[in-house]
Parts: sequence; C-alpha cells; structure tokens
Amino acid sequence: MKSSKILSILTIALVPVFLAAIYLVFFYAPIEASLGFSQKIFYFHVPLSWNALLAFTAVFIGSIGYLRTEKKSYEIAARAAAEIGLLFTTLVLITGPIWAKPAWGAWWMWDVRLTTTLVLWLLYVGYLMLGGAVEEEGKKGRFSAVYGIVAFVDVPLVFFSIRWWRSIHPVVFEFRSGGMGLDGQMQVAFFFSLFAFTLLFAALMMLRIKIGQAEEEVISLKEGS
Amino acid sequence: MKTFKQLYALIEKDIIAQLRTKDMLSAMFIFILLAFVILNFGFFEVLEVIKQNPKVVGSVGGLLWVALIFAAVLGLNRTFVLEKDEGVMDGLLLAPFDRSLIYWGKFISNIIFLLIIQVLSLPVFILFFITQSFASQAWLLIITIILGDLGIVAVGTLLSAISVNTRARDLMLPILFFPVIIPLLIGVVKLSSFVFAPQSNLVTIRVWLQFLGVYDIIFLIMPFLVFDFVVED
Amino acid sequence: MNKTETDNYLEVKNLSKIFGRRKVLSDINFFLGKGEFVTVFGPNGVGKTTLIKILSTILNPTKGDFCLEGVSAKRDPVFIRQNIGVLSHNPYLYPDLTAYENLRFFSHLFSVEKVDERIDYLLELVGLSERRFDLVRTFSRGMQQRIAIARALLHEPALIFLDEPHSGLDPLAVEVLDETIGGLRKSGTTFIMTTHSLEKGLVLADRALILSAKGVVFNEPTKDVKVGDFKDIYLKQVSG
Repeated sequence: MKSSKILSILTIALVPVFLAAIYLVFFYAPIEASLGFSQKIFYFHVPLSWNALLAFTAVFIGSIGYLRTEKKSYEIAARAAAEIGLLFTTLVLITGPIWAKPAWGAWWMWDVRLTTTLVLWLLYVGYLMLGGAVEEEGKKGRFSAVYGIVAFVDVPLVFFSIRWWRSIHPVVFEFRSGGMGLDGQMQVAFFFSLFAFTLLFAALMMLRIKIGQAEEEVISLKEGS
Repeated sequence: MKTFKQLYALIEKDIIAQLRTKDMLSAMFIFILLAFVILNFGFFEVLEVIKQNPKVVGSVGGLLWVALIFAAVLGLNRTFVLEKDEGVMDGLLLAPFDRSLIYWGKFISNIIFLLIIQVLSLPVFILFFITQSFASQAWLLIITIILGDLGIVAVGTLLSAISVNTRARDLMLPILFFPVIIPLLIGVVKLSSFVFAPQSNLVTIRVWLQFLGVYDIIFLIMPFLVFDFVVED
Repeated sequence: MNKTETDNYLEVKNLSKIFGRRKVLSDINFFLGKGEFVTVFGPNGVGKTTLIKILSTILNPTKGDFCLEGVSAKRDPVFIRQNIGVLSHNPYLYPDLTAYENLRFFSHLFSVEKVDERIDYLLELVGLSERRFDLVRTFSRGMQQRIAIARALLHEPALIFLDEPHSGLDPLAVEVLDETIGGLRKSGTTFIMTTHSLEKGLVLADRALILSAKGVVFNEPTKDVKVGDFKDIYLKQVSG
C-alpha cells in the first residue's frame, strides 16, 4: 500500500535527520553568550511547541470534518493528533523549566507562552478523557469533535488574555524565541531542528492513524453482521 | 411569535421545577458561603496584607470569582440531569421547533439561577471581605457580573449537555469547563480589581470589557453551530 | 415545504440506521394510508423502537427518508413533529411538575389553542381530572401513562405512534388506552404500533408488518389473517 511505503520511508529518514539535527544543535551551533550550554534546549523546546500547536490545529480540522461528513477517518485523525499533541505538549512543559532554571533561576513562571501551553495541555487531556468516558460510538465522535472545536477557539483567547494581564505588570521573564536574535549558524540549527520535529510529527500521525484504522477494521470484523 | 412562546414555556418549566425542589439553588448558595469561609482560612494572612495595601486591595475580587465559578460548575452540572435521568429528553426532541431552542431555554434559566445566587451571596462577600466603599465603581461590578455570567453560562450549558452523557458525569464538566473559562476568569478578576480598588484606569477597563464582550460573542455563536450535534440521539 | 404528489399518507423509503458499527435497520420500505392502523411485530432488538424513533424524528436515519403527506422528514422535520404524537414506554413527564403543569408545558411547545379547555377535556378522557394539581412524582405507572396519553393527544396529531404501549399497565390504564384508541380510530387518526402481544396487535390493526434482521418480511392486511395462522407465520419469519 502506498501509505505504508511513505510511512516506512519517513521512519527510516527520521534517523539520519535527527542525527543531523543533533549534530547541528550540539556541535555546529555556537554556545550562546549569556545563557551558555543550557540555551540549546531551545532548539528542542520551540519546535516541539510549534508542532504541538500544529497538532491542535489538526484536531480542530478533523473535528469540523467529522461533524460535516460523519466519516470515521476524521475522528481517527483528530484523536491521533490529540494524542501526539499531548505528548509534544508534555515535552514542552518539561523542557521549559529545564531551560528556565539555569536562565532565570526559577523552575516555573507564569509567562505567556508557558502558561498558554499549560492550558493547551489541560485542553488536550480533557479532550482525551472525554473520548474515554463516552461509551456510544456515534456520541463519542460528535462530543469529541464539538469539544475539539471549542478548545481550539479558546487557545487564542487564553493567549491574549494572559498577555494583556501580564503586560500590566512589568514583564520580568519572557522567553525570547523565534528566528529573531539568532545569528546565522544558530538559525540553521534551529530551522533544521524544526524540520526534524515536523517530520517526526508527520510520521507519528501517519503511524497512529494507521493503527486507528486497523483497530476499526478489527472491531467491525468482530461484530460482523 | 411562536418561537418566543415555546422558549418561554421551556424557561417557565425549569424555573417552576427548580423553585419547587430548590436543589440546585440551595446547593449553589451553601457552596458559595462555604467557599468564602474556606478561602478565608486558606489565605488569611494574604488577605490581611491585601486589605492594608491600596495597590493590591482590588485583588480580593479574585476570591469572589473563584467561589462563583466553582458554584456555577456545581449548578451547571444539573442543567440536563433531569432530562437525562427521567428520560424526558426525547419529549423535548419531539417538540416542533429547532433543537437549539432547547439550548437557549436552558441558557436563560441558568442565567436566572446564577443571578439569583449572585444577588444573595454578594452582600455576604462584601460583609466578609470588603472594608472600603466601592459605590462609585458599582456600575463596573454590575457590568462585569453580566458579561461574566453570559460567558460562564454559554460555555457551561453547552459543555454540560456533553458531560451529562459521560460516565464520570460530575467530574467531566469541571475538567472540560475550567481550561475553557480561563480567559473569562482573567477578565472578570482584572475588572473586579478596579471595582474594589481606590484607583481606576478607564483605558484598561475598556480593553477588558471589550475582551469579555468578544469572548461572550464567540461562545454565544458557538451553540448555533454545534448544539444540534450534541443533542442528537 | 416541498410536497410530492402521492396517495399515501406515510411513505417510508429505504430507511437504514447504523449505530457506530452495528446495523440496526436495513432498507425499510412501506406505505401507510390515512386512517390505517398498522402493527409492527418483531423480536427484541430487531429495531422496532429504533424505527419509531426515526419516524418520530428523535433519531436521524443513516440512509433513506420518509414522507408524511408528501413532506420529507429530512427537509421539514418540524412539520412532521407538529403532526405526530408518541406514546412510548417512557411517559416523558417531569416528576416535579403537576399533571396540569406538564400538560400546559407541552401545550405551549405544540402551540395548542385554548390550552385549559383542551387539558380539561383530555384529563376527563383519561379519568384523572381530580389529580390535575398533583405532582406527577406521586402517580403510579399506570396513571403516568394515562397522563402520557393526554400529552400525546394535546395537539390533535393525525398520526400516532404507540411503542409497546400496553407493557406494565394496570387493567384500568389498558382500558383507558384501548377506549381512547377506539375513539380516535373513528375520527380517522392513523396509528403505528409495536407490540409483543400477537393477539392484541392483530385485533387492533388493519395491517400487520413483521420486522426481521432482513427488513420488512411481511406486510399484509389483517383481515386476511387468522390469529393462529399468524403465530406460525411470525415464528417462521423471525427464526429463518
């Protein structure tokens, strides 16, 4: 099958891509002046974060698709995106403090991005728990889809409300991320790392969707008619 | 118009049923009182400091909203319980109107119940925690409560229609609801801090009022798009 | 409101329902004339209640559609609901409201005119006028079903669904139900009933349908069928 070929190619490609990324991050990119070696976690933290948001968008699109077409494939895709998104978001929440401690001396601070990520994490968990708590198939898909839409719409609201809330008080700590302020070699490492993680996301999605579709087939074979 | 009569019938039904049993109202009210007491003991020293410091005295408003939101979740949980447990939902589904009318009926009933609770518990809150007069900012408190209620009930009613169908019914609503309500919570707490504080900043106030307005509009439109999918059997 | 020319009062076309992965109804087709009383027989789980739920628009079919007086349910479900009444195992009553309040509530939902008069008449019909201001919570099951009959008839529906209406009823309630059905039949109301009682189902009906996993396997007027024969036909159809 075509898709399993793509998946195999992707999976195999991941190994050299990640090896290259690790090389670029740890050996090619220079050590950053003020923060030192610990700054390198940024090369993992930010790509993970972007992909977590990408996953959430996939949940949103899959949810809309499911409500409009009632095709199970949308539900499977949305749920896959939610699981992978949760994984990535968890890693963001772990790498965040690992960076924060050496950088500012505190493990956690309620800054905009980290807090929004925390809320994103909670929304993912809610979405997956909802899926687990509904027994009837049709309802599970519909309820999850509705919550997927509600949660997605909520994220920008969360982001802006926290940003404006914090801007009243002087912002002491804020993660500076994105390509700004990075010199040439760092940018290369960063964007390649971004590419690597996006590839990983794609591979995990395809894998998880395949598993989901296989589960569907098994169950419908079991129930026969 | 026919639709308004039907909407009125839906609201009337919920109000009569609730006034008769008073289970939701009394539970919410007692809960808020308890929340005030417990929060007071949990943050006693903090509250003492806040009361003395004019720069942060307004933040006591946060306490009010924490108690309110928890009480609201308690009440919202019961929105569709009657229909679900007694199996009367099908009776509503048989009615000759657009299904979203069921949502709006519940929405308005819930707003009424929430307002009743707020009217009763606000004096208690002021008694327990407010030492200075805020009469000149009372208008802001009223607007904040209205905007806050609209958002809480809009989101809560929609999500409770979902959660009433799940296994861990009482726990599911808070899990789904709290992350979604965070922006609104930030907004109402922010505005409340201006209510209970001596100084004011009209520009900031206007920004937050607009933000709450946007939040409310978004989540008031949402049911039109998705409620049918939730209530379909 | 697109009306298509047809003689049939109710037309069911290729109705199918799949719950998740389970196919509960497949390709149901039948017609009903105005004023007919049809009983749908079938074993437990074959989908009788699902069929009633779909025809009363509580559930959406996975495939297919049906028309009432030429009006498609997909296009105008509100029209369908305004013209049907449903008496089911569940009385659809609010326990903390009085009988009167319940009936008034549904009257307003169905835009019934002269509400109080209608409620008085129906309560009289089902023999519960003295209990009008009592909470439904205090009623026995038979009494609740009698109020449910009143509820179903508030808006004078032309088509009434009876989903195993006799189950669990005390003799008085059964009598009230049968008398009410008799009276309504005379005024031309159309009925669809599901029941486990072969005898009762045949006696009341103009036509009998048997539903099996394959769909509608029997669809004949009852005057041509004797009760004893029917039992054999039924057993043969559902075990095959």
